[in-house]
Amino acid sequence: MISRLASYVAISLAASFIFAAGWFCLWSISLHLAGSPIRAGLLFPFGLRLGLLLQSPIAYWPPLLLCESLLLYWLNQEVGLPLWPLIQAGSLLTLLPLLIARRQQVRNDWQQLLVLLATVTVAALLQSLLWHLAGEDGLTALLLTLTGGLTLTSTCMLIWHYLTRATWVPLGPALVDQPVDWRFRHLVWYLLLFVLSLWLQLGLPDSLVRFTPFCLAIPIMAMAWRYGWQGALLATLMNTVALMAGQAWHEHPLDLLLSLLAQSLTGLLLGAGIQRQRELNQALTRQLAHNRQLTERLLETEESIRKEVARELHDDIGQTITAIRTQAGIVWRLAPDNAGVGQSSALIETLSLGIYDAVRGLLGRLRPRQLDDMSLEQAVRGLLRELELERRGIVTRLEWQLADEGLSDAQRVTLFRVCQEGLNNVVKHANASSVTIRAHRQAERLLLLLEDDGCGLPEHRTPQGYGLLGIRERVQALGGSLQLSCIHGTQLTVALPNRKREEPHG
Amino acid sequence: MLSFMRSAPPQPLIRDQAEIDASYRHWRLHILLTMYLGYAVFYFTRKSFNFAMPDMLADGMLDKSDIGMLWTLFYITYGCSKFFSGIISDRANPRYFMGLGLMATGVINILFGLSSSLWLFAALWVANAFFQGWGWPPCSKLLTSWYSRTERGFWWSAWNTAHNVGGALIPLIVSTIALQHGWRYGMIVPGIIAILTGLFLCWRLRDTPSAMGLPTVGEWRQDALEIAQQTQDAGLSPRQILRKYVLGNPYIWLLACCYVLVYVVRTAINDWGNLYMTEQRGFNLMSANSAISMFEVGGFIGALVAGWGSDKLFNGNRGPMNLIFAVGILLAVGSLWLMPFFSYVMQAACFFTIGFFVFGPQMLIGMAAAECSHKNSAGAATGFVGLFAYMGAALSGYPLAKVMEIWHWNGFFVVISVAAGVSALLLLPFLKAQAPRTQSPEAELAP
Repeated sequence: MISRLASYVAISLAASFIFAAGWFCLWSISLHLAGSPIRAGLLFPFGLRLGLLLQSPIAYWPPLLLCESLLLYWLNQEVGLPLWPLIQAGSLLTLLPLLIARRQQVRNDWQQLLVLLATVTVAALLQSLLWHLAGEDGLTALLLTLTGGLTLTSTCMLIWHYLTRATWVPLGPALVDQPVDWRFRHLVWYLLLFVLSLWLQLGLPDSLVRFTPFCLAIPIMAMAWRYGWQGALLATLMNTVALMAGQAWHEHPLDLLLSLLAQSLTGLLLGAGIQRQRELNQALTRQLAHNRQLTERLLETEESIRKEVARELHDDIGQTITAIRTQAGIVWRLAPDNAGVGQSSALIETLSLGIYDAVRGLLGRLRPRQLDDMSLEQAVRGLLRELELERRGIVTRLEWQLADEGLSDAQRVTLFRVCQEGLNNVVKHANASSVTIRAHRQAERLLLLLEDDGCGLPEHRTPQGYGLLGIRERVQALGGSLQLSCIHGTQLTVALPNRKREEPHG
Repeated sequence: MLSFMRSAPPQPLIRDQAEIDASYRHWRLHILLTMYLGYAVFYFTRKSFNFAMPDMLADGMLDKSDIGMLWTLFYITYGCSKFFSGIISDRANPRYFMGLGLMATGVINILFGLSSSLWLFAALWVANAFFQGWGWPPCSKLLTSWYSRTERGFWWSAWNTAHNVGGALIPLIVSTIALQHGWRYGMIVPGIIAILTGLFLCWRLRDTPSAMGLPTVGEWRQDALEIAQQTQDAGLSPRQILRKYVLGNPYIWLLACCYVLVYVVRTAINDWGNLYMTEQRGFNLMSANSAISMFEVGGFIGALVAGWGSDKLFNGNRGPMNLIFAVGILLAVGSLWLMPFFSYVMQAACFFTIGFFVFGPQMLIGMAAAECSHKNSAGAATGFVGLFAYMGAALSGYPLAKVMEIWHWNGFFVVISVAAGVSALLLLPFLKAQAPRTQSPEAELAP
């Protein structure tokens, strides 16, 4: 208990010192923009307090507020801030929207940005209402508080987010083995954008004065598109610095304040909007990936079931039929004189042979049996022999550079089926004199090319109707693509993603 | 002959836990206090000339350009000496290294007070700079061997405030003596104090725990991080350690570059601040100097907040606190630049905030350098970044004077604002450095 209290006191002291130093510096900078010391208190210091209170745990609110009161009191002694109790009252009043904002259940970053915007607006309205009631210029107060609030709260959120999202671990000598992550590209982009906006603010001639404000939106959009809300807020911050550097020397504080306000608002809203789009986009991408994974899984499962059924059929029915034929032979031999029995047993034999053939055909359709006994390359070679291409006067060439180990079962079957279907088509329709099959790995893909020099596809038959429809669906389900072109002969190209899926269990 | 200067070989371990605890508790406190005193007195002999200088100017012994030259010579020699004595001190006994160094600076200060020619001044001041470099590396060696990784932020920042105490006391002492008895006594008295303190250091300071038969501090405090640093590459020779962990360590170079910029700001405010106050704001020298001493007061608090905060809030990672303070420097410089109230209090408050923010990185970078290098090269690593720091200090001498000649005070402020901003940027890779380790589980899963 004591140690927890001590640690609370120590943290609040440290935080108060940093807060006070930052508050004072910002007040001094605000003096330059706002004119009078009391108005300066409404600009950036107001925003700093709001930003820190919005992010920090509630337990640390009292020390921060106390710290601000002491600063105001001290400044009143030194330079005279007659209205400082008003700021004080305002800061207590703004605790209300802050408390409400903290109660919001916010899950997404973009919602957090909108909550921030709403909180700052309400707080600024409350503070300037007090100002108005005290008989001062309420509108100026509103402008100051809104500008300071939006600029500083978004900056606070950015820094706070950055510092608290990571779990910080101490760095040690092991660091020496880790290369420096310069992120040169990012850094160069930031600096380039910053210099550009600074140049636009400082360097454009007065005749283009209407054009300069629009330039502020460019870095915001670019960074928001690239980095989401953090990018938008960072660009807003860079713009603020550029604006202040560019216009602080001119005599238009009102103009400057309004531009600061407008561009902070742009940054915040644009950041929220783009962040929402990015989040939706991410969700969509995730969902799509998930879907594809599911279909792939489905295919794998189908293939394994087919494999199992085929094996059962082959083993069980094959043996049974052999047994039936043997039994029929035995029956015939047991009663060699009975013509009826002989006829029946001959019939049984014929029928069971018929079943055997039917099952064999079915097995071939269920699953190419070759794939169980040999590699894919050997199976394709077997296919070429089986179709008797050489005999038909078709020269074949096979360049196979895929090892079976890198392929999943579904991929093997699909590639085999593509070859089977393609070669069948060549034999049936193409009237070709040579066929080339090439299979190889290319970066992240497996490519299978099937070319012939025949007459191409018949005009009236679309590729879909060409026996390839089912295969195309399979290929797509595996995340690949199938292309058919018939400029000189027929070229069939199949690309599959180069990764082995886990085999479905069971 | 110099064998007593060498670090003693490890003594046989003491077995009695109670005795270990007792001597650790005793020496941790006493070594810190002694180092504190020693380093503050190093400041006496380092800055004595700065405050005796107005009197010497009045006597016509020197002119302004001579002083600028003396400063630049001093900073460059000091930086180099810091690095080389850092390398040596990793193998030396800090007790005599620091004590003898301090006595040498005392003798040189006394000689300085007795001499009258510019060339002698220059030679003596370079020699002083050389021995000044013997102050910080032994301290960093002691700070890394007596205090462990998770608590070091606090101890180091407490020690670091010796900079500010020494820096704040010396103007008072030297100005008073010089006013009463002339500048010669203003040099001689700090010299005598330094010799006495040097003797005290030789008496009270100790070598590393292992030289006293104690287990290392990591083992004593059961600090896993400290033990990890201790056992990292334990078999390397000192030359290999220096090459791998200091000269070939990209992070040390990064810290060094950042340190250059921080020191540009620190030295610019320290050395030109009173000119700014007198020339631009119309204060007399006395109040200008006292406003500058607010810089040291701010630094005192800033270093404590930064060091303790980095231990407590960021698990001993110095990066985030460094970044906060670097942003703070930028704001603080802006506030001094734009401050429209010329009253003494307001200006002093600006100096206070600059000091507050500058001394955070000033300390954290040195500490990070010691922590990111090998256990046995802490002195060399801090000396190496110190070398760069004083290059920065030298930059804010003559080159900054040229800038002010052409662009006046606005140029001065633009230069130090840019220095502060770029130093914050240079810290970013340091913040990124830890990211791969926290994200590694996901990174391995991703295709």
